[in-house]
Amino acid sequence: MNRRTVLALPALLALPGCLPETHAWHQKLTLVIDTPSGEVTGSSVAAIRVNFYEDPPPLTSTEVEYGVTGEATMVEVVPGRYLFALINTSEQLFYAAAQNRFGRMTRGEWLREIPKQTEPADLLPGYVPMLVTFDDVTKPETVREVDPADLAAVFGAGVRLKAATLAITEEPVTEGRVEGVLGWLDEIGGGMLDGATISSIDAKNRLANDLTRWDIRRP
Amino acid sequence: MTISKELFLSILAMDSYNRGYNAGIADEGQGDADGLGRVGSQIGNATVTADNNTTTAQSAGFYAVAYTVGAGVEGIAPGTTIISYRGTDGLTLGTDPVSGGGDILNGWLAGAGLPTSQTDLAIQFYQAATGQTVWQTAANTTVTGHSLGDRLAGLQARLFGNEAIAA
Repeated sequence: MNRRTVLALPALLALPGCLPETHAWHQKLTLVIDTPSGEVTGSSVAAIRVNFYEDPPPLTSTEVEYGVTGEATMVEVVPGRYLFALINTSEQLFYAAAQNRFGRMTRGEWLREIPKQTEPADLLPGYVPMLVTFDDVTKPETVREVDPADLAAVFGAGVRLKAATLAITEEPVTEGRVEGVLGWLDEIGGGMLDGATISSIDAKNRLANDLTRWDIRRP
Repeated sequence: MTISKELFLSILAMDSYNRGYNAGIADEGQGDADGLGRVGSQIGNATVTADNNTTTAQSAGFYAVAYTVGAGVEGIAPGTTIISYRGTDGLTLGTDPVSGGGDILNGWLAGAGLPTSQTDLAIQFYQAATGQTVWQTAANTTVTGHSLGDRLAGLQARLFGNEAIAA
């Protein structure tokens, strides 16, 4: 990078086509679970922020950047056993769940439409965020995935996911719920849930080696 | 059918943009968080064996991925480790609340000979993925990258003595 490049960069970024179109909305994920002792629910609100570039900025091919603030949706399915819906697929989840509303719109068009949506979207199988539980909630390395079609395998007979919905809302972002259960969230640092500094195919628990605290709570 | 070494390394140099956080290719059908997939996934006859998707890396705008290559690439022995460093994909100064760590302060300054968070992370990833220290040359290892990733790959080649191919 030479001096001319350094001087030219701010000017290039200031070109109208290089500045992003920004979008923001809050979305509420709600899980409804049937258990032998009755229905239990959990919900959380996340904030989504988007930079959309009609013309990608110079030196990159970036068309869209997403940012998420929020935390996993948590449900105490049976006493002492919790289910978490991770937030790491939140960015495009509303579009994915409600594609039929947006037809053949371009990304720029459907991004403008999402904040105006008033009807919740049902999350069909395959669109439900990754569900996890912890064999021991005090140990992040004990995380394991839960099949949304077979909650009974983890939580016992008679437990099933009845519904999952996503709604655009003006409610504030949910804070402070998950760390009440996962007390280690503020202590595990910047690595993976198993403490490793990289993800490796040789990891003992692949899921714990693939997830970070930002998959559970994104500041 | 075989593929040339240069073409294959160029493909892997670009592949690092399409995996992990802020992947350039996303499966909008299901809100895919990691683009083409992470550890355990494949591209051609190469298997992804490691990556750095930590929050530390995301804060610095850094991403790298390691592959083990199978047969079918001219000039690359089966079993070879290839490390690909992602290049510039964030032009913000510092950390943007939407896009995360930018590449200018976290990466480009290395071009002026200054240590940056990305150069540190690049070295750490090489060592973790190969099991070698900075004073050792990992056997059967090649580094590649595009743009800023090419510079990070070049740095590793100078430090560790491995071959680097720029895309």
